[in-house]
Amino acid sequence: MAGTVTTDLAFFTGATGGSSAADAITDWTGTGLVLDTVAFVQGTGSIYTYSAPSTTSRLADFACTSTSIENKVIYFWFALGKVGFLDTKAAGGLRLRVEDASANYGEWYVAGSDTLPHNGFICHAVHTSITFDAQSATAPDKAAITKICVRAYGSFPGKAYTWVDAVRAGTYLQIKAGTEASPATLGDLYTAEQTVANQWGVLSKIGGIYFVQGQLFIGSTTAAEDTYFKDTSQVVVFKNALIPSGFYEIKVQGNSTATTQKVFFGNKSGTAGIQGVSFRCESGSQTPKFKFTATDTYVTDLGVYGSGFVAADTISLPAYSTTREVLNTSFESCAEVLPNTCIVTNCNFISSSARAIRISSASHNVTSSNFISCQTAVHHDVGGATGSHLKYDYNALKFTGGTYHIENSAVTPNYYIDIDRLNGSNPDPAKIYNSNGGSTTLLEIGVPLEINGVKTGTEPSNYVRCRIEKQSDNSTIMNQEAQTSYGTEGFYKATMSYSYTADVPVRVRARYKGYLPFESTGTITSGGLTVTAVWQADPNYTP
Amino acid sequence: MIANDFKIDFDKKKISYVGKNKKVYSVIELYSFLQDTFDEPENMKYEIPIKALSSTQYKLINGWTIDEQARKYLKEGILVAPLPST
Repeated sequence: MAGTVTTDLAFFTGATGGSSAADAITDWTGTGLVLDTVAFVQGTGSIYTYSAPSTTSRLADFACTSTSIENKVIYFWFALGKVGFLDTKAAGGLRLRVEDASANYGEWYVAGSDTLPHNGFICHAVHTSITFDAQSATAPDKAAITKICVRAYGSFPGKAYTWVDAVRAGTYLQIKAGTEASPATLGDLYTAEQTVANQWGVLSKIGGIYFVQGQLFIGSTTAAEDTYFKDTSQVVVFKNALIPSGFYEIKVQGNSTATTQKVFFGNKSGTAGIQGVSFRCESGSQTPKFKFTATDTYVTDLGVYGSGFVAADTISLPAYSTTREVLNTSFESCAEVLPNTCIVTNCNFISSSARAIRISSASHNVTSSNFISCQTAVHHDVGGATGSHLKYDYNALKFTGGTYHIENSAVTPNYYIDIDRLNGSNPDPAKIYNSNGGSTTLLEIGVPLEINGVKTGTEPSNYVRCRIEKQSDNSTIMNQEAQTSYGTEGFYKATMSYSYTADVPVRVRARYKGYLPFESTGTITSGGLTVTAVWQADPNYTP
Repeated sequence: MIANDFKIDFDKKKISYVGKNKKVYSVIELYSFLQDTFDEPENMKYEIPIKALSSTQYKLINGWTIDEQARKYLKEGILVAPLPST
């Protein structure tokens, strides 16, 4: 069963019974308006402007019943004979204009000869919270708009045309339903978009890449409505439209009574996430980034596998469950990721311009991940009291570059944090930032030291002597015999646990008469140190 | 016994002869004696003093020296070694 697609996008109702669907001329006024039943995108027709003599403007105005456009996006399709007819965007080549009953108006400059990629139908999106580029002395009342106008300005030769189709207001597309055998997919959204009766203009597809200019809801908040969504190996790009920061969003949602609520981006192979979905912005510097919100725990299964987020706004994940996880996913140039206690494993956080991830609970499940050139990698905002520090485990968290590896922003008095570095976690002690005066302590960690590959040949009577000493002052770290046998080739090893605080350059020795003395240098890192001695019989030794 | 006749000054990195019986040792015996001494746990902190260049040619390394008197009690091989500075 394919996914079911719904939306809150709606046409404006005409003042005298017409519709902004532009399938009839009723309630439309402007520059020689004519219904075109041949060239259109949505429904059964579009409205075109025509003028025998040349003009400097082409107006297509729709009179509607009083309608609130607050906090909505107005979508409209527009085409023209030649892009070059228009003024530039800055000069207001293509404008969306709204008026209230007092003829107060506001205009957004939507596009121009310098921004339109082609002269065919394009759906433009304008969020009504965006500041007007031009307006009357008194701004229009957005809660009671009575006219929606698509106006083009420039140099239009005689007989040139412009077209307008399907003017709507709304915010989102939603997909729900689907089954494991036939999941709901992005393709279902696109199929619904392509239906001539719909053509909302929120989701398009060019060269196999989905382009989005609205909110996408996956799942249903309506009681008992199931969702099984899964898509793989897709690219989703959020367009650089007249949309404010914080509006674009992919929201995974559910309800308390459905029996199946599962959402997957990509596949899981063993413990690895693969074949995921790449979410990104059209431009890394554009204002409308996109949020990814998947905090709804009614969704029992969430899999973000082998996916990518580029230039995303806040990414919010749900509380821990063995069936909710983010694996092998990259977050590049994104805003702060809020993992809650969700499983986040084998992920890469790259080039965050501020904080990469906020870990607020000692019960977090962010493991085996890399932080590469992030301004601030891990941000903790919760600490403990002076006598009971809050301990965060770092399990195989690797840090490379960046300004701060750890920020402690907890506030007094509970701003004491201990970090337990496990399995090679390597935050740099010099890159800790206590932004509110707190205290962050890297706990000493026991790391393994091992010298192996040696033997006297007379064990257990005699063992090879092994030593590790600091290069800095020759002080002893290890001085013991290799008494532990391993493998099947008769070799022995010496091992010990070392309390690591920082990298230590060392000198390593293994000696036993009858064998060439072994000596080398190395560094004890957060992963410890293992040295295999080059062990050779000494042909010149005479007992 | 070579251990009684040759003295190792670990601090000054100096080998000298202190034997009473004037016994002469081969260079390879000195080599083996030193290797046996420096693999003891308490001596692991010191740098190895000698290396073999061949079966008959040896060299003191890592700043170790042997005094002129001690050289008189070595035979059957070549020992490349600086004299102690004092």
